[in-house]
Amino acid sequence: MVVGVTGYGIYIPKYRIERSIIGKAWSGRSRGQNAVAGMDEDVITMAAEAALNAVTHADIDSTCDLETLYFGTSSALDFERSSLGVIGEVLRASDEIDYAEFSASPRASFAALKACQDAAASGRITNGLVIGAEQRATAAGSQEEMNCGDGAVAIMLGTNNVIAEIDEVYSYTTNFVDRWRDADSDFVKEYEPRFTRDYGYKQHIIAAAGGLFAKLQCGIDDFDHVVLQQPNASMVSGVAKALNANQDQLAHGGLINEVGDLGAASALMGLAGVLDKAEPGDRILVLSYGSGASDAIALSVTDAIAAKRDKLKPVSLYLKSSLQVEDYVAFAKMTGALEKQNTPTQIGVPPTSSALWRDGREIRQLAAIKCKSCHYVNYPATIRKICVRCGGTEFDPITLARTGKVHTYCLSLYVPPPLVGPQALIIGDLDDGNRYRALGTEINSSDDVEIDMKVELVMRKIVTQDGVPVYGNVFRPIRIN
Amino acid sequence: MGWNRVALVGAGMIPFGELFEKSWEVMLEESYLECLNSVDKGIDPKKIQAAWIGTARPELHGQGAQGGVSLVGHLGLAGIPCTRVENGCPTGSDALRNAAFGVASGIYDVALVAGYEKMRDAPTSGLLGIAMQGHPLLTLGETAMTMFAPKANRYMHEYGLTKEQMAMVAVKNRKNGVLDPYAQFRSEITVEDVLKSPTVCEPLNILDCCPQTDGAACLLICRADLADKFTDKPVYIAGMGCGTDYYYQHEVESYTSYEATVKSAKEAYSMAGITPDQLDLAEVHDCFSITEIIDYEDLGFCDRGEASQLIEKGVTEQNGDLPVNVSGGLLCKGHPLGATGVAQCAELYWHLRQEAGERQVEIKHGYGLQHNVGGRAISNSVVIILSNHTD
Repeated sequence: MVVGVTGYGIYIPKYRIERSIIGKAWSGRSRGQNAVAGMDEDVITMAAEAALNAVTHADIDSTCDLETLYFGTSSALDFERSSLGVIGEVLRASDEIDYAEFSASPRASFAALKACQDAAASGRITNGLVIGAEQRATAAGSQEEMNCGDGAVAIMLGTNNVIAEIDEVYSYTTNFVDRWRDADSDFVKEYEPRFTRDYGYKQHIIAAAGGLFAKLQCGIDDFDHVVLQQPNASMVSGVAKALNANQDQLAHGGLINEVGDLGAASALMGLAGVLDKAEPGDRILVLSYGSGASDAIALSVTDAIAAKRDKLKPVSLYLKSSLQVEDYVAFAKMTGALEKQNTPTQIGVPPTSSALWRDGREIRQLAAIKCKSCHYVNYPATIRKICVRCGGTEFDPITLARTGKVHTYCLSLYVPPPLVGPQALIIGDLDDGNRYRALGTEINSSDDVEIDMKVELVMRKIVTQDGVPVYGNVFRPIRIN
Repeated sequence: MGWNRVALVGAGMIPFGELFEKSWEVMLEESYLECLNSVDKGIDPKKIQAAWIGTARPELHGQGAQGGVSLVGHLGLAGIPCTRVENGCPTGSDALRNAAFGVASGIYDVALVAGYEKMRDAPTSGLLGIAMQGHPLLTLGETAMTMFAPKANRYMHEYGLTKEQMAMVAVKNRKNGVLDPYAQFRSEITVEDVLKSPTVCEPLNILDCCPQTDGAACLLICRADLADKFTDKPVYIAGMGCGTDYYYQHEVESYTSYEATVKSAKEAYSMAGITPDQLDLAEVHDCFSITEIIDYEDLGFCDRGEASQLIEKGVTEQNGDLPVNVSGGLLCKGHPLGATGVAQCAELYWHLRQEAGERQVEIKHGYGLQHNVGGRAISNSVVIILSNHTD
């Protein structure tokens, strides 16, 4: 059975930091910029938005047609539990979906991809979502702080309506220590960058590519596009040279100077960049790397790619939709390196409580109920057995719209930690006529918000308490139409 | 209406402010003694048969669900029935309303009503912490400011209210407060001061907001037919109303009015059998300058969209046709939640008895109106109308 990509979606946070600003703070030097997640973002929120984009592009019904969600990151949030169910809630996916989290390497997303490919090839599933997402914890003043960026990519694999077939996969692994973040460490550490470059990154990628070429009896010249894991610009150019890859082949997958080292999302983001531009018949070589392992994947683009482009939010739009972080202090607040020395206020109902288990799911699903007698939409469904408007007790389930406009708002400079002012609160009128109230995001001054402005509901991390995140919907000025 | 009339025969209050030197017990005790001493013909405390205490957020000063004994236990009245009332910002006024039910029903002849709030034993962050309580997603981030400020933005958008006009409310009330010995602030400010004061929550500046205040107030009420045992100048409860709107902000329909106020006002006017033009003064909820603007319309002082004209034309100034918040209001006198409604009624009591000194307004019809609105999604309101006559 031919397994391939049936759709994909990406997410790059809006904020960018010029590496020269980080350099200025620590007497370092570097060119380019990194994508930086906002204070209410993490791998789960970024993955959720990428996943929604992938579902739209693949044109499947995620409430019934999605069977697996495999997730790869080296920025895992928890050792004991996974928050992947939150992504499933945003997708309103079935409870029969199979979740798995792959970690402990920036190529974890490729382990996820191979597992999903196998599930589809075996006939066990028809549609599976593979997500690579990264938001590394980097030490202030470290090389990683200078290089790492945040983002997520979701790839829908399946057997129907494939836009890029997977022709072959080859993996090469040795026991190699380059970067690590042990359970007791807050930050990623590295032994020696040049050792990583020459004996880790370069040797493993060359070996994986060689293995794939041997299996397919082909060479680098047989590929129209070459996508590499991108830890930094010089490592990429060194390996490209060793592979004899030319600039045309590398043209669409190189994003290191735009978004930084995206780890488990790095090579997949490159693949997305290539698929945005690829023509039917193009052949693509993708080479991952992480922690002494490299995967080489060969894909062939099909005729189906053109017809799906109108449902795509391409990488270029996310790159264009950006806002520069003004200085290192603002950046350090976003990464958490700089925290207000103020005890966070405990939320009234802790994130581990049954209350959030009951209501949180429906809130993230935007699941509401419409009164059969007066048609008022009650929300969330769990807490409403009686229509608040007319007292009716019979309802039809509905899903709220994600987009709308600002009915009214405020922007508060004083909010208790861990919230940070200025914090917008928005009363929104959704496009389906229902009203929704949520905190705002990416609203940093009164210039960023006004009545009747178009907004969209996105899932963000509202607070974290005792290490457990609370995810909910917030209003964002519509970012990409 | 078939109810026994209720009279106010005593009122006591302590000057509001940042009372770091006074415990909440002392605040209650002092306002109670003031109240007892205010009774013209005197009163034996043993005659008090029941009591109601209003306090909205005792958690702020480390007290939890303390119940009614938190009042009578400190006043030498332990033994009599006492109930704690919490109803958001209308807590104090609702304590009076419920006490009035007790007397109107014929169960009690004489009852005590007290309201207090000890807000400055906690840092400001304590009050802000309210934003993290309630439903962890549906209400997270709701402070007093983030509940009232969205109404300001919508009202400005729909009716063209300016920040200058909003500021005029604060200027008026600060001017009134200069004459009120119970007010937290005793100095005037200008429109420019308000506009130039630091922004707290767009579109509200710090001088558009009431301060955090410690305070307490007490009232003595009795059966109207027994009032002459205590005074020759009783004040009567003419009407009372309590209204609610929806619980969550996303369920609230109007962001240019407080529907809870509209409902409580309608009930109170109907019970009193009067219209707004018969009011000699009003003490209304002005926790923020925008609140008083919207109150004018919700309480029927003017039509929708015309509140700015009332403030522009000076109608609600101390010497205007309908003086509003001559005490200084919440913006100037302070807003110790549970005390506020009780204190507003004390202010009406003094005016209706011609005892308000320098700030006395002209009494023509003999009616004064008290109003609070607040609580979750600003969906609780109480309106009480007092009169200096029984019909």
